[in-house]
Amino acid sequence: MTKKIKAVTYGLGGYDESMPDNNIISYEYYSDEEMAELAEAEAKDTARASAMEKLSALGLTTEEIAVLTK
Amino acid sequence: MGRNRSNATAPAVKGNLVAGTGADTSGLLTVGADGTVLTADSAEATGLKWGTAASGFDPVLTPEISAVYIRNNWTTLTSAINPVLNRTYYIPVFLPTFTADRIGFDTNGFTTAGVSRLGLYAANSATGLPDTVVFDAGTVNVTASLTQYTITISQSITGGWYYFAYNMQGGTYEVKASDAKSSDFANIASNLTATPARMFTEDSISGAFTTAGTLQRSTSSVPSLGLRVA
Repeated sequence: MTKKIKAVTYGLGGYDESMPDNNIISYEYYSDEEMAELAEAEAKDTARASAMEKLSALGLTTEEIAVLTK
Repeated sequence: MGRNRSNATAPAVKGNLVAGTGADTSGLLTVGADGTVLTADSAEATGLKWGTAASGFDPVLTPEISAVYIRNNWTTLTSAINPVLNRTYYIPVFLPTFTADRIGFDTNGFTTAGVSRLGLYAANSATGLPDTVVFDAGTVNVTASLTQYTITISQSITGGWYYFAYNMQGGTYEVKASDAKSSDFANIASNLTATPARMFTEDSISGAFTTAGTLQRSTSSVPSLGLRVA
């Protein structure tokens, strides 16, 4: 499984195309345990987004959806 | 008749002093700048020097732990905003006295890559509004969801109110945010039941940060930024 990047740190001045790797000085990756949690959380987010789309299609306002999904 | 031990020229300038420099010798100490105070300093020829007065009571704490992030409110982990292109979000934050070595934020959802600019503004001492740029850290290139993006800085902060500045200058993605119920500094409302402003925004900022211009008050969720303690 490809490791997902958890954090990207740039050097002084930030993004700079003239520097190696655009001035990125370090990457941090999710651990295997975090990857599993992340996949679960993303699955929940996808399900939630899908449910909200359906509620919206039924004509519910953003406020009504917010009340239902609290 | 007593012995005259002074061998310095009598002061001819208002405020100048004659001070001992050793046994039976003395020298002229010229007056300091307005507002400075005279303090003892054995390294000086006269044993005295003019300097800036130490500040009085300082209620601001200095963080004792390094590599921790000082952030504005962030009460709901899953909350996020879709930033508006070239809109600077001025997010109020009270900071202690410390040195910061990183500034950053987290993404939530991600659609297309682009840069975000990060910085810090001073709060105007008279109005409390975002004022001059403390620092512009530059940009990061956002390329993924659920990722922390930080820029290395080296910045001494004097305790007080500031504004984080966040500006999406390209791409389409979400930024982790405080949920809409949290608020910090800018609790400004027309009456006691109206939703208060939680931050200020300024549109059409496409390059480096400059002194804040025309501000809009905002009641939206607030992007969450952080400064790391060096």
